[in-house]
Amino acid sequence: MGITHNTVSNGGDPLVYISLKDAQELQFLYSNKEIQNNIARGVQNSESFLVNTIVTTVKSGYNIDEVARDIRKWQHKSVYTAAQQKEILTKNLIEKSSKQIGLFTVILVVVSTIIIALIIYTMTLEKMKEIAIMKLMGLPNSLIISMIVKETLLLGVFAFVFGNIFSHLVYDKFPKLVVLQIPDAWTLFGVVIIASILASFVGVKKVISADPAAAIGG
Amino acid sequence: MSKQSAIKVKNLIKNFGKEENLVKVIENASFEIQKGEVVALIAPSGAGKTTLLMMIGCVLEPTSGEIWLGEEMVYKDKWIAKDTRRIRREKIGFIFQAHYLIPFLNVIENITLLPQANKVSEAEAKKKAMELLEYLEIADKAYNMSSQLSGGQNQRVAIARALANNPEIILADEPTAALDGERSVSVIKMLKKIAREQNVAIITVTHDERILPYCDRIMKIQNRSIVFHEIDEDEVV
Ligand SMILES: Nc1ncnc2c1ncn2[C@@H]1O[C@H](COP(=O)(O)OP(=O)(O)OP(=O)(O)O)[C@@H](O)[C@H]1O
Ligand SMILES: [Mg+2]
Repeated sequence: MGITHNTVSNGGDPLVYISLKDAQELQFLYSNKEIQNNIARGVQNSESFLVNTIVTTVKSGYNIDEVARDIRKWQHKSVYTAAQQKEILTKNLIEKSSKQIGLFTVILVVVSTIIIALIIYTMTLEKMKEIAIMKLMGLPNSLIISMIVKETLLLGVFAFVFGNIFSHLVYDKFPKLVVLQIPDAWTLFGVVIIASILASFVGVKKVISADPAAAIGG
Repeated sequence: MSKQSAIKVKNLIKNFGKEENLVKVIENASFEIQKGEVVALIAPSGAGKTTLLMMIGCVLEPTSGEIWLGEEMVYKDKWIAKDTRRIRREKIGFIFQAHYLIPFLNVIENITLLPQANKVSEAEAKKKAMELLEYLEIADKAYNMSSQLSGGQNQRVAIARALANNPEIILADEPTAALDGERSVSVIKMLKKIAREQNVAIITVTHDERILPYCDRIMKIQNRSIVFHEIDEDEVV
């Protein structure tokens, strides 16, 4: 009995192990609304210390689903096979929260792509004069664009490395335990690079439209 | 030196705007400039010096007329050259009042940018750039950024950049305007040396009387047309 270390529920909350008797007491004496109402009405519920769950193992040679189907015919009993139980847990708890986090991640990636694009855009605007001069000198668009894309990629790689180091430094301070895995980092790297390239298209569009005659202004 | 035409302009006309906003800048200009020649272009502000230079440099499209650069007709009432940027890259070096060096590249990278666009190998472009920097006496600054150089040094780097592609023509728009007298003279001397040694035609816009003695001819824009003045050799210092 006591508080556990390094163990969390599938929702990420801390776990406490207590005896069955205490658990039943908690559930049926204090927290069950019906029982509370009955107690308030003066009705003593003598059936509160019933068995709630039985975990069974099916002997080899018997089909689990058939056994489950048979038990299901008894009244007031629900039966779940291990597979079904697992399904309930993952579907309801883990999958929902992973979708939630996934959606947050998508939003964050979209927002940071927009931020990168804006930074690239202003950085390109600042370089319009130089870009116009490069065009005037006769440098092909491809070379000028590759300079901008390179700059963006550099920015992306820098942001990725910095962000990764930062998150590794702080991840164990998160209120809920987070798992950082190397393959995830590589996926993120790919996303960052693609996002950077998309963002640099904004700058590239600007390059194409730069007027070389405007470079020297009259 | 055999006389070879570097720039030939025939009946060149340039107007800006249309109808009541029509501005006539150049009317029926015809002239020829030889290889190895240094021509000073003088005219009051707004007379069309930059406009003329940019048309010769295939940056600005004329209204009508003909432009030949060397053997190649680049303009006849429309661009004949399919890729004007290629013409600029291969035939022309530009120098401006400001150096316009790319601030995020160092000196030698600025100079090798254009040759590399012309498919010259990096090593070869670097070797040529170092030669130019030595020629212009700023080789010790090869790996500095433009912001670490003085105005005169930056202008010499800009000249080196204009020369990096072995252009047939150098178009300079007030290259010495930002420099003091002594440095202006040293820049024009350098340009003259380049014109003579590398057989390059140079047109330089200037307001600076001091550099005229180093030029071969003076070109003026008067009443929207071009007139030439020879320079008396005796004037040359
Ligand atoms: N894009 C344009 N649209 C309309 N008019 C223009 C344009 N560019 C130049 N002009 C006009 O053409 C004329 C010549 O301009 P240009 O810049 O060639 O003069 P400039 O001789 O170089 O003058 P400065 O010595 O001041 O540099 C000016 O009257 C100018 O107003
Ligand atoms: Mg001008």
